[in-house]
Amino acid sequence: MATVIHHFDRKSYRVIHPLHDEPEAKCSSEGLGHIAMTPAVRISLTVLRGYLIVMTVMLGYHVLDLAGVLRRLR
Amino acid sequence: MLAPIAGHFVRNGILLLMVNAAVLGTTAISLAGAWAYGEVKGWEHSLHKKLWEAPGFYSTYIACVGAAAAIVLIPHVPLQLVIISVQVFAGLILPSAIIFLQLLLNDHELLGEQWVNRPWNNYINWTIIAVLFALSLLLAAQVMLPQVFS
Repeated sequence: MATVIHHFDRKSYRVIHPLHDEPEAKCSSEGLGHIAMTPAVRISLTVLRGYLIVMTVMLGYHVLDLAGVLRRLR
Repeated sequence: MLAPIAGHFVRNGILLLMVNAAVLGTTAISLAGAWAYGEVKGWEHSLHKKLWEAPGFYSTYIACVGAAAAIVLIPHVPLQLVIISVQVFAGLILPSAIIFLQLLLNDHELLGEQWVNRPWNNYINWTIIAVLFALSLLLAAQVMLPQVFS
């Protein structure tokens, strides 16, 4: 019976628990002002505002319709 | 429905687990809301603080829990509709969080050159955001105009 012998690389790895690891450098927002209103930021926030308003109104209308509130008002 | 198959013990156990999930959810979401509002307003906002050390934070938390309880206790309110509509609303406003995250990921001052998004990150992120918004709009259209999709 043929025996296959694997030759493993005898490298060893040491696993460091995150609690014992050196803490990574954190980004700090200290001293930073508001986010720069570049055109891309302005467009993104405007589209987001429109989306949130439209969706909230549509959902509110639909929920009131399902609850029968609109039928009673008509 | 479950009692004849699995017995009353299992049925009551599942009901107890659901109550537990509801209590956890109420606490977690109200606290998250109070924490975020305190962050925006610049108030002390931590459970490590005493009640009198972070009055705004605890007031917001109590107001959230009180408002939720008040809505649920309105006589004859359709509770299933309330539960589902809240979930739908949460799903619809979810994409807004990813927009803010994407804007922060492009803030050079905040993240520095090492961590700020590369162009390929932005291509992937904006594609995901566009798909999310398109799916949300599709959902809204399906709900508002069901006859179009039938």
